[in-house]
Amino acid sequence: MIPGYGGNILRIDLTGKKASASPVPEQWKREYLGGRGFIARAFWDEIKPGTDPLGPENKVLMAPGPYTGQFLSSSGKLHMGALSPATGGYGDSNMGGHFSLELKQAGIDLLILEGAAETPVTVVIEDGKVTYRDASAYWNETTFETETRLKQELGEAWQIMVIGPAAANGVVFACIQHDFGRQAGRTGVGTVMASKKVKAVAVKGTKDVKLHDARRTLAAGEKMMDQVMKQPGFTAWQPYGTPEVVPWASSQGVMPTRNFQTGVIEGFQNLDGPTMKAKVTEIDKGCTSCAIPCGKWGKGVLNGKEKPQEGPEYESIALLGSNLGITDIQAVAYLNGVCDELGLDSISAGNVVAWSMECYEKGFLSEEELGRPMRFGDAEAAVAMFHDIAYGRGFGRILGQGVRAAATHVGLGTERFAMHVKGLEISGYEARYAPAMMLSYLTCDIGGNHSRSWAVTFDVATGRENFDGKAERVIWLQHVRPLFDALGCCRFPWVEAGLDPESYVGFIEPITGMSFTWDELLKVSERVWNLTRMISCRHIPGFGRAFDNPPPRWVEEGQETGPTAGKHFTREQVDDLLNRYYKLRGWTEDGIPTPGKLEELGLGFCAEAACK
Amino acid sequence: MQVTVRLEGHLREFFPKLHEPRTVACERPITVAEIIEAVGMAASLPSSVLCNRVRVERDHVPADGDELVLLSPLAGG
Amino acid sequence: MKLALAPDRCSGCRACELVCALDNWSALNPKKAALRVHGHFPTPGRYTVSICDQCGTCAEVCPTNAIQQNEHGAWLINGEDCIGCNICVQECPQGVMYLHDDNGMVPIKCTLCGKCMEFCPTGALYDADGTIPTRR
Repeated sequence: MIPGYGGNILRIDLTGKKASASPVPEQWKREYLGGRGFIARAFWDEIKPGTDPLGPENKVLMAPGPYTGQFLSSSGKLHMGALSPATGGYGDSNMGGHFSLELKQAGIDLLILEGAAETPVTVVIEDGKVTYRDASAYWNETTFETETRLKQELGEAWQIMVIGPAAANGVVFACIQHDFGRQAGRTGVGTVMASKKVKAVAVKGTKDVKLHDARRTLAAGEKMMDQVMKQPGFTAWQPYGTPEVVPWASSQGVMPTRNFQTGVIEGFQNLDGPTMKAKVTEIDKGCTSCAIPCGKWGKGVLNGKEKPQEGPEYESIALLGSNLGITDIQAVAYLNGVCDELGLDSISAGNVVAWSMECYEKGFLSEEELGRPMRFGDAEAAVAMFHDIAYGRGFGRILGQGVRAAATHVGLGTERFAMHVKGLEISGYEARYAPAMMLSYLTCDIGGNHSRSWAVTFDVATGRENFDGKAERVIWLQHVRPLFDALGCCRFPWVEAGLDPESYVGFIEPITGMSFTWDELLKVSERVWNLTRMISCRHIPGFGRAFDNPPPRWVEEGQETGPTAGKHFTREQVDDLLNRYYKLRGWTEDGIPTPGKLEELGLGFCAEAACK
Repeated sequence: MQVTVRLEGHLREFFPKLHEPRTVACERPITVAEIIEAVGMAASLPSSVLCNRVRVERDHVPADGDELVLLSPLAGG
Repeated sequence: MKLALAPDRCSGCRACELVCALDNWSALNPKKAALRVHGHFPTPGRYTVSICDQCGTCAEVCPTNAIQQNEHGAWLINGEDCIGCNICVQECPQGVMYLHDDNGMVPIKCTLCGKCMEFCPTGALYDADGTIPTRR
């Protein structure tokens, strides 16, 4: 058996309360590595066409990777997937913390939650043995309350993931939380977990994870830890984490502001890294083996009320700060804490509430309809609306179905400024005059997310008006960045501390005994990329180019202010970008992988599902 | 006077000619912004600049023999 | 070399646990580490770490004298003399002697190898004698 893995697929049928284990196919390790690769591969086999995202036939998939938990910097990542209730297509999300290694030590490389329990349960996994606890009494509890409760009941050494009231009440962008602030935030994986009546999963694992060559794994890890901590980028960035980029983002006009009406915000200095360090951060809070760590723990404050919370990181600052017109870092931290305890994805929550504020200010929605005036800059109104969303009250019930559904419900042209791609709310980069970043959003396999390709710097460095080389860059990033999700570790030592990404090749052989070149690893990533595209093809009727469109705002109006004020690309120009991208990928003009491309990547099994 | 300029992160990929540290020679003391432009980059592109490992603003004037590190905007979680 | 602790600096990353188990047992398994990081969240929102300070209580209570101090000041268990009575595990004032199924009756104990101090990224674990440089 190839080492470096937990070894098994653990399938838990919630309907019959039955669990069964089987070995992970060795071929999967060679062709998909683990993590996101296993999620995509299992998704194809497990989740059939016609599945209702909130029905018992949908499944929650969770997978660590071969690098998970290793003594190399930042190895605490867990990948999760499910058919997304937000988009109807391939959905996944990624979470840090310490759950992933624990799952692997329980002997699990892929956890499948299927069926649905009749009444709320907490699933308890101890070294692969599964038991169930009645969770009815705390089904609607906040995430913090439930994680605290389970730590008390089971013991501090257990690793626990929980959902909050947002998931329990069917909000389509509900997250799964772990370790009091680590979130699998995007695509509604928490909502799917709730549809199975699973309030929490607790895991404890004590087994060795076998290593091909422990001595050389240790030596490679020592070298990497040393390198990370000596990077100049590390020393400059470490004290602040991702908020370090706020001043740059605002100066370049890429910081979403007041529902993406513009990309610069007055008072951005009050949201930057040093301000957060002075006013919010108390301690660093790291994932497994992280020398960096980007996690900052501290208190949010709003009108004298305090809330302990982790973060906010850049995305939350962008969506809960500038995008809501709020420039008080303590208030942003407070909002972040509210989202975390309710189990709301802070990106989507900030996005939909910003849309509701624009609707209010422009007269599309009234105070009566919304339950209160929703003005940009009003943090208390945002707090109240987050609660309405999470508990399904009033207009919150509409917003909880995502910005695409809410705008369809309201109509009146509000769809023009509903900022989503494929039904997933766009994250923290205003990209209408940044072609590589816009293309990153349009082609991201889960919808409007930055995680697969982040190319703003490339746009600024190579000319924002220029299209040449942009599709190439996006494709390269879409292979490199998700590779970390397949390996089960974090890409921050590369993207934040400046480590050479190719240096990660050096771990695969000592850990697993498998040998891969850098290009071979990227080929795995390309395989997974084409597979996730085919999964959305299979599940979304008519899927193709029409689903890669930008929100109208991005092609119809320029930003109000900033370095690129007034500028935007046309629909024809965006089509040109997509044409270049599809051609380079070997896809049809409608953006579908060709049978030849699928064969080349060893994905012949999904060729018959090519979209009609 | 001479100032050494070193690039970190994605900037190294975008400016392959600056993969190795570059020495900028100038007759009079000049600002960080002018030095960045002298190596062929927009002064606003780096997210932060370190002078001898200490963060400085664009209007800082380095001394002879100082080392500037230009950091790429590091984000995109 | 003297293992010391500044818990306020701990970020809970557990690199210490990983490198300890990897160096001493050639295993990816923090359950075999001879120290533990504990999180206390959401309140007070801090980490604590349990470490061995080589106090020698284990040796004092050992009925077979299986625990002897080496030239570096570390108390080490001689597995051949250990009878698996567990008294040392129960009596350890810091609670940092552990049993693991893979290791039979012999407890896991700190060997003062220094790896945790060498790689603690925040300087929460450090060498009070200064022979190993602190990271931050």
